[in-house]
Amino acid sequence: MSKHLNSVIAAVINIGSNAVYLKIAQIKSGLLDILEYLEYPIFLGRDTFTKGKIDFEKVDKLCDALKDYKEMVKSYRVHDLRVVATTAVRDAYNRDYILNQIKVKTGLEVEVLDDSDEKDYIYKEIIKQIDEYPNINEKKDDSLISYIGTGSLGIAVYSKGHIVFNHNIRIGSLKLSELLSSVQDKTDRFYVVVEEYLSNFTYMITKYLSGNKLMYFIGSGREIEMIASLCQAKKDGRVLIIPKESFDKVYDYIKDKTPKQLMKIYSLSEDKAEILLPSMGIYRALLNCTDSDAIYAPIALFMDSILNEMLFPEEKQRLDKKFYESTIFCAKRIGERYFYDSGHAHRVEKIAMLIFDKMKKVHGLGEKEKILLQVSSLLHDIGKYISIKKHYIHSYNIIMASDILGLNSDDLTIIANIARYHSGLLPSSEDRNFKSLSFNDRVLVAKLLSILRLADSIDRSHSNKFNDVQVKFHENLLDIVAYTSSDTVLEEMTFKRKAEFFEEVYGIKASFRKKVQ
Amino acid sequence: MQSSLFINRELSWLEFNDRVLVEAFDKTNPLFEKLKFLSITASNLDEFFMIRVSGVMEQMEDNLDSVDFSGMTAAQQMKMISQRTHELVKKQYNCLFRSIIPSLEKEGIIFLKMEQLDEEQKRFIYNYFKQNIFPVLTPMAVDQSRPFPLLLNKSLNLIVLLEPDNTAEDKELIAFVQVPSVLPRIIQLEDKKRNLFVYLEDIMEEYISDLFPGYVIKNVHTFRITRNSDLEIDEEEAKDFLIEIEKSIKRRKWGFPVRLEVEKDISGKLKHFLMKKLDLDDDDVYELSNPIDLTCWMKFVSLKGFEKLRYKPMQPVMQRDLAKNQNIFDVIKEKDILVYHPFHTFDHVVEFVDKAAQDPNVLAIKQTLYRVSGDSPIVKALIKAAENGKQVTVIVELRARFDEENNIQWAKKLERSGCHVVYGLVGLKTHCKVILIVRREEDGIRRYVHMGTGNYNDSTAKIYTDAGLFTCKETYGSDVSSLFNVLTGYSKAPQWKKINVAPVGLREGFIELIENEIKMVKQGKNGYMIAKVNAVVDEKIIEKLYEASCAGVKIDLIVRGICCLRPGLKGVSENIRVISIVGRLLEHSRIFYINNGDDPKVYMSSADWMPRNLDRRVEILFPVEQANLIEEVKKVLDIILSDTMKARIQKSDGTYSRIDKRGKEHIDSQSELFRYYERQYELSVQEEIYEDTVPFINRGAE
Repeated sequence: MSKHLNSVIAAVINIGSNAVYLKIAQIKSGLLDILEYLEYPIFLGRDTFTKGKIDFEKVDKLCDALKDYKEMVKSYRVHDLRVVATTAVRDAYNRDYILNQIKVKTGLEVEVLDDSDEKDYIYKEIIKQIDEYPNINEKKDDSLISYIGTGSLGIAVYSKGHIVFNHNIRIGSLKLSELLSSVQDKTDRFYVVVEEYLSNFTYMITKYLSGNKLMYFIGSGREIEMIASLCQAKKDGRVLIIPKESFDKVYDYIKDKTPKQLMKIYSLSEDKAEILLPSMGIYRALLNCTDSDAIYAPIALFMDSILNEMLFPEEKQRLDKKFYESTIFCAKRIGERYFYDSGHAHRVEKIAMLIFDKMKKVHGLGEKEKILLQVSSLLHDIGKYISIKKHYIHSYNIIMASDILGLNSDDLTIIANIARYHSGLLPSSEDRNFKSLSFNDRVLVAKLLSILRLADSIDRSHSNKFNDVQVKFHENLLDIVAYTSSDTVLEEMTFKRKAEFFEEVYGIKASFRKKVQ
Repeated sequence: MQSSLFINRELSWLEFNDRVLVEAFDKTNPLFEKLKFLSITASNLDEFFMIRVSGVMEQMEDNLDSVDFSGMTAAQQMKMISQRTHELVKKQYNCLFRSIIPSLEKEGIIFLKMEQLDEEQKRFIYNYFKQNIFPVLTPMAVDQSRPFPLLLNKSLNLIVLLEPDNTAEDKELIAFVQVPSVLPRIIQLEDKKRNLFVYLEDIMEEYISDLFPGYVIKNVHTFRITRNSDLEIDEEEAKDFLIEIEKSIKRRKWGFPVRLEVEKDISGKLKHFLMKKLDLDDDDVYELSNPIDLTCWMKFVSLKGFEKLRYKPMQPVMQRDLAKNQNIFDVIKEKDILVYHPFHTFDHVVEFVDKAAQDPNVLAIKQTLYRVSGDSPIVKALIKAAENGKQVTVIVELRARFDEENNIQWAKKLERSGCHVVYGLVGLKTHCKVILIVRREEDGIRRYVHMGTGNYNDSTAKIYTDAGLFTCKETYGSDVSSLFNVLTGYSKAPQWKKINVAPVGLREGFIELIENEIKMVKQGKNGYMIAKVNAVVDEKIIEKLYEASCAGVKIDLIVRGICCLRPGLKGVSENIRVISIVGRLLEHSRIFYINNGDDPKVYMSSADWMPRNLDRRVEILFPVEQANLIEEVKKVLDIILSDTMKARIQKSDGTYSRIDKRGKEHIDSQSELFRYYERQYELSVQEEIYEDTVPFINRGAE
C-alpha cells in the first residue's frame, strides 16, 4: 500500500561551529517543506579557533548526537542523506582522525566542505531569491552580497543577473569574537577594537569594489535574522529590510554593552549575545562600503540550499549553469585586475574549448573540468603583472591566492598548476609542487595542461592572426587548421614543441596546418 | 505588593477540601456517592499532610522569620492548618455518624460493635480471626532491648499496654500490632436479611490476648501515623534515573512523622508516649472516634448491588465528526477536532494511537505519558506499534507523585517491546500531554497531533473533565515535533510558532493574554477574559490579574482548587469573580478565553497557574483557532459559569458560599454539559440520515 507514496524525503546533517544540525525536508506544493529542524549545541568552533584542534570528549558527544540524528532520519525513511562539516572541522588539525572516529562510531561519511563550497550554497540561494525579488533585480544597479559564516566572511558583487566578483576573508563573527575575547575584559570600549580590527580589511574591499556603484547591500548569515528582529526590520516577501538608520541606532546602543547586559536586554542566549557585536560590526563595515540605505536580507540558509539541490535536480541544473557563467565573469574580473591580455586570453580560451569538445571521447572529462580549463585559459598569463620572468610561477601564486566563485581550493590548485606548467617547465614527478597532488589530480592537470599548451602555442604571437580556427579529430590525429594570410612560422614551431607533451599524455598526434583564405 | 492581597495556599487548599466535604452532606447526592466524597476528603488530607504539611514543618525548622506572600510565617501557617484541619475532621465524623451511618442503617447496612454480636456471629468472627487474621499479625514489644518499631506510613496500628499475669511487681510493657492492610478493613457477617459489618480492628482488639499469652491486657487502642512522603532525588548526580526513583520510593515509607491520629479514649500516658517517640506536638494529634482512616470507605462503596445508592450512569458520547464511520486521520485532515471528556468518549484518543499503530503509512508515534491506568489501552497500542516496526518514542515521567512504582513497571514494558523510552529532562517534570503521529501520505509527510489538558489515562478520563485538540495543521506539527526533540535531548528549543512552553515563556504567554485585554480596554473596547484552571497560586499572574481588574478588564475565573487571589477587593480586584465547581466529575481542564476586542481567542494548557507548573515542568499552552471550536469552547464556559448547583463563589476572605439561586434556573453544569454533547451527537446522527435521504428525494424529482 505504501509503495505509491513515493514522495521524496531528503535530510542534511551539518556539523557546524556552534552546534550540529539536522534538517529533514520534503517537497510540498512545489516548495521545500521542512519537517524537522534540530539543533544540538556543541561548541566545536571554540576548540578549533583557540586550540587548533577539537577535543576528543567533544567528538564523543558529537558522535552521540549523530547517532540520535541517524535514528531520526531512519524514522522518516529518508531517501537521501548528506552529512557535511564546515570550518570547525575543516580547520582542526586532527580532522582526519575526527572523520575516522565518526565513520567508525556512526557509520556516517562526512563531506568536509570548503569555505567556498559553503558560500556557493548560500550564494545560489540568494541569487534564486533576488531573481524573484523585483526591487533589486529590475533596477540595473549593482549590489554587494555578503555572507558572514562563523569562520569566514564572503563578499560578492552582483551585477545584471550575475555575480561578477567574489572574495572570501577568513574572519567570521565567531572567529572574531574568539580572537578578540582576550581583550574584551581589558577595555570597556571593546567596539573600538572591533572597528579598528575590521578597518584594515574594509580598506582593501573598497579598493576591490571601486569599479562598481553598489546601490544595494544584501546581508546573509546566521545572525542576520536576530539582528533584523532587534532592528525591527520590515518583511517584503521573503526579504527582510533593515533600514540603515535603525541599524546604526541599534549598533550605537549595543556597542558599549557587555554580552551579559545584552543577554538581559534582549533575552538572548549566551552564545548569541557574545556574537552580536562582532557580527553587527562586520555588517556595519560592509554596509558603509556601499551606497545602500538598508540591509536587504533574503532568508538564505545553507542547509536549505543543500536540501533544495537534493530535492529539485532540475532547478540545480539551471542554477549550476548560471553559476558557471558567473565563474567565468569572476575569472575575467581577476584577469582585469592584473591587466591580462584579454585578446590573447580569449583566443586561447576559444581554441582550448574547441579542442576540449572535440576530444570528449578521448579525455572522458565533464563540464566541471571544462570550467577548470576555461579559467586556466583565461588566467594562465596573469603572473606577467608581476614580472615576465618566470611569470608562470607568479601566475600560480596569484591564482592560489584568489577566490573565484564556484571553485573551491582544490579546483584552484588544479588551475594554478596548469598555469604553472603552461610555458616552459613541464610537470614531472621530480617536481615537488606537482608531486604533492594526488594521482588523479596529476592526471587531470596533465590532460588539461596539454590542451592549453596547444591552444596557447597557436596564439604564440599574441596577435589576432587567424580569421578562423577549425579543430578536427580523426582517428589518432588532432588536426588543427588555421585560416590566415599572415606568416605562421613562429606558431608552427612552438606548436611542434608543445605537441610532444600532448602526444605523451594522450597517445595521439596533433598537427597544425595553415590555410590561406 | 501588600502581602494581605494574597491568601495562603495551604489554607486555600483546606477550603477546597471543605467544599468536597460539603458534597458528602448534599441531599441531592446518592448515599454511596456521599460516602465516596467523604472518603475523598480523607485521602486528600493524607496527601496534604504527606506533601504540604511536611513541607511547612521543614520550613519551620529552617527559617523561622521568613513569610510567604500572604504574610504568614511557617509557624503561623502550621497553627492555622492544625486549627482548620481539626474543624474539618470534626465535620467529617459528624457527617459519618450523624448523616451517613443512620442513612445506611435505613438501607439495612449496619455496623456492629463486638458486644452487639450474638453467639453464632461471635463464633463466625472468632473463626475468621483464627484463620485469616491471626496468621498475618506480628506483635512488636518495646523495652530496653527492643526499640520503638518503624511504623509504616498511613498504617493503622494497635497500641497495647500489657502486664505479666503472675507477678506482683508493676512491670508494664508496651507492644504494637499493625492492622494488616492486606485484609478487608470492613468485614461482612453472614446474614440473609441485612448487611451486617464489623471493623477489622474491633475484632483484633477483642481477641488481642491470644497474641500475648501469659500477659494481662490493660489497655488497647488504635492509632495511625502519617509521614513526610515528598520524594527527594538528586537528579544531577543520578546515573540511572529509574534506579534512583525505585530507591526513593523505598525511602518514602520512612519519612519523618507529620500527623498522629488516635482513638479518643486513649489514655494520656499512651498518647504522650506516642507523641514523644514520634516527635509530634499537640497540634499534630487528632483524637477521633473509631473508625480511624476514612479512606476505607472508598473500597466499601463498591459493595455489590445498591444501584439506587449510586449516580445514574452518564454515558459519554462520540464527538460528532468522529461518530461518522470514517478514518480518524481523514476527519482530522478536513478540520481540527475538539474533544471534551468525559462528555466525549476517551476512546477517540485511544483509537488515534491504536489506528496509528496499525496503519502501514504511519512511520512514527511520539507521546508523553504522565499517569496511565493499570491496564492502559494506550500503552498496549504503543507496544503494538513498536512491534509493527513503527518508530515509537515515549517520554515517560517517572516522577508523577504516588504513581512512580506503577510508572516504572510499564516503562520497562515499553522498553522491552522496542519503544524508545526517555525519562524526560533533569530537574523538570514532563507534564504536557501531547501525541505526534508522522504519517506518509500521497502528497508527502503529514503530522497529526493531539494536545490535551489531561493525562492519557482511560480510567480517570471517565471522571476528570479534560479537553483535547486533534489537528494536522503544519505549524502545530512542527512545534510538537520540536517539542519532542527537546524532550528527547536531541535539540535545543526552537522559536515556537504556535505554542508556549514552560519553563521558558509559559508564564509570559499567560501574562500576554491578560495584557492583551488591558490593551483592549485602553483602546476603548470590552476587556473580558475567562480562565478555567485548577489552582491559582502564581504571584506574578495574580498581580497581573489585579492590574487588569484595575484597568477595567472583567475577569471570570473558574478555579476548582486552591486560589490565592482575593476577588472583589476595592481598588484591587473588583472586576474579578472566582467560582469553584466541585461535583460528580473532577474539574480538570485548563481553558483560557480572551475577548480580544470581540474577536475572541481560545487557548488550552496542561498547566495550572502555579509556580511549579510554570517553572519546574515542561508544560504547553496552545491556541484553538478554528472558528466553530472557539464558539464551542465559549458555549462550554458559559454553561459552567451559569452553574447554580455545584458552583461556589469565592469571597474576599478566601471562604466560599453557594450561589444565590433565587429567581435563577437550577443548573448543574456537569449534567448540563452531558445534555449539550448528547444533543450535538444526536444532531450529527440526524444529519447523517438526512444526507442519506437527500439523493433519493432528488432522484424522485427528476
